[in-house]
Amino acid sequence: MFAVILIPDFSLHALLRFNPALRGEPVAILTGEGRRARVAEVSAGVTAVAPGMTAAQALAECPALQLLNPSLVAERETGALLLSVAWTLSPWVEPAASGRCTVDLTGANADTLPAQLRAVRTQLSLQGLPVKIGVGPNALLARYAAHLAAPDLWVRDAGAFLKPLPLSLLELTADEERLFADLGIRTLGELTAFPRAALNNRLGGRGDALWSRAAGEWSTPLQPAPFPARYRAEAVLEEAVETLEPLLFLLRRFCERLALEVGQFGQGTARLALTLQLDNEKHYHRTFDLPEPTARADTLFATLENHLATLQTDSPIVGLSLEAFPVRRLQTQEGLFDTGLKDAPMFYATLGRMAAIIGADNLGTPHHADSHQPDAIALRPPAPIVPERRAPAAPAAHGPLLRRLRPPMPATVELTETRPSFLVSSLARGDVTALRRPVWSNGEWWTPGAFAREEWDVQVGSGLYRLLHAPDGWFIEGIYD
Amino acid sequence: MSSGSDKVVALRRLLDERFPAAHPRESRLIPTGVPAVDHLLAGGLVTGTLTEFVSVVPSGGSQLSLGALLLSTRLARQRVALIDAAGSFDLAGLDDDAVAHLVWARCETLGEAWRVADLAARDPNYAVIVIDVRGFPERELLRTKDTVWVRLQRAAEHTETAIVIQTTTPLVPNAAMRLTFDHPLDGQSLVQPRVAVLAALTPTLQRARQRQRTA
Repeated sequence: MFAVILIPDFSLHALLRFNPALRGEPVAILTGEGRRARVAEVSAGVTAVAPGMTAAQALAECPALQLLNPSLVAERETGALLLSVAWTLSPWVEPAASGRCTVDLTGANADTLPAQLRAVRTQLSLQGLPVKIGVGPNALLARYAAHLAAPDLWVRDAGAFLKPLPLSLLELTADEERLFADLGIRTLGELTAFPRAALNNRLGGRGDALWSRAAGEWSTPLQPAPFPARYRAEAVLEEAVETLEPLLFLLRRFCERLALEVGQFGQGTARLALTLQLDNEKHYHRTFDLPEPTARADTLFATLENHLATLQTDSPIVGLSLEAFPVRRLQTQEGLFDTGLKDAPMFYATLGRMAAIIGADNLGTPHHADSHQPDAIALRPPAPIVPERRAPAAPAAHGPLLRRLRPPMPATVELTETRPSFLVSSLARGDVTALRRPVWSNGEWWTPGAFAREEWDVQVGSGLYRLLHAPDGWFIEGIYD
Repeated sequence: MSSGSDKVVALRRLLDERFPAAHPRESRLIPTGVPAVDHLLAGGLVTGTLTEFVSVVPSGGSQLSLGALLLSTRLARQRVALIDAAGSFDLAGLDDDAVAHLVWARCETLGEAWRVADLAARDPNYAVIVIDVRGFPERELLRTKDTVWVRLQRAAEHTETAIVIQTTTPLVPNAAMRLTFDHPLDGQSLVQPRVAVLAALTPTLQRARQRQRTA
């Protein structure tokens, strides 16, 4: 059994997929150049314009019509997407021009096939691509069915199916059309009723081939496309891009296709390589390592979007490429009581966005740095799993916690017998009513960061403060709160 | 003829039936580890809501409450984000393992803090997000746009996250709960066991708006 997946008006829909602003507008695709340019495909709803009209005729019928040339980038990318989706049905897929591919369904489960075909249609519809699918005992019958499908057509009885079909399915030349019209032959059934030998005598080998195709005979072996060796998408832009929006739009399309391709066999990607080709002939290259392998287009796109949101290039962008490197997805099971991340990609994407605002040096899980310096705190990347709490080795803590003022606030301190007795600062002013310690410390005298300090914990009014006496004066270092 | 409020109730019921997914998730409680606070909050922080801790006095115990919340969530192995607008969080008195679940965002300006908080609030990986804006002048805090609170509220409603805002003045118009720390600690608390200091904290409940849904 074979299936043919067909995207009607492929050039037009590929273009609309990359230019969604044109959706709903009267649009026609031209072929040929200059005066010989003809309308090839026209958007639905423009009934006055038909394929084959010249540009002038088309504009006369519909003045609002936008005449566009086919986009090679859009067609290549949409063709690759079609192939990727078709591979979800079978590894034997033969791509054809004009948004069509033939799938060999040998060995497919007949019970699940309708659901699989629905999934194919849904995937392509989500990309704004209309799909027609024909299923038949051979590739030719499936192709005929695809042309007539609305949106699916299964050929059960080949003879009954072929009989009423129009001759136009055979893609006749103008001379052949005239000949068959003169003979009164309009359908495939009427053609096969004509003696095969007689047709062979009139038209030679071409006549025999036409009769064979009208009878639904097919013997050409399928030429399946090889799986991509590299998961790569690239485009040379017709116009240089200076803003982020069109670039992101293109990258979104790339991500959708690449995610589908790398996810084919349960794989994912943990690394993306983006290259931007600049107008000044320079290149910007960046590799992204993802926190875990994924085949989700949204995650891939969010990674790129986060980076590009803050990127500035010297020159407009004239081309780009994106490559995804496939890896096997991790198959690990967390412990029964482990509390991992609910949404790991979201977690790391959020961290990336937060780091873009406050700097990566200011974000992370804090821990005591290996130093005797006061306020020696280091940050490390947050752990994906919150481990079980270890019993603290230190004795039970005392007192409230310190809210540290960074930098310390200068203060004037009055001493009575070497002890603080009155405090003046913009934070607090008054008599010291309670006093604890002092604590003296010094260290790192062998480095430029040498320190020598004297700390007092004092109560002034309703506040408990840590006073710092350093060589350059008195400070309020923090508030016990 | 039905009154205006009847129409609103009927409209809410209709929306309930037609768009069940649009409603906030079921709330749950996250204990703070401070006996008095948990008592006032009827069990702990409510997910999907904003809770405001107002430090009226410099040493009212709000930082100690943050420490207790960190320990409580650490034992439950829940992830916490601390958006520290003035960068005043300190590890003194806490061991490294006690903050293994903490993501500390050290900001320099209030604007940075709101932007980072807005991002964190949309991430479902956090059980609690603490936004500490103490250390900024009251005048600057009061200039915060209402849209900040609305966005935080909306984000919290759609994640199972409790958001705590630590301020020095009542600030959050849509806070479901507001506690003020208005009893200062005395000098003796510096040498008392922390458990005893925590037990002695007596914050005041200023506002309690429980989220209710029309039946």
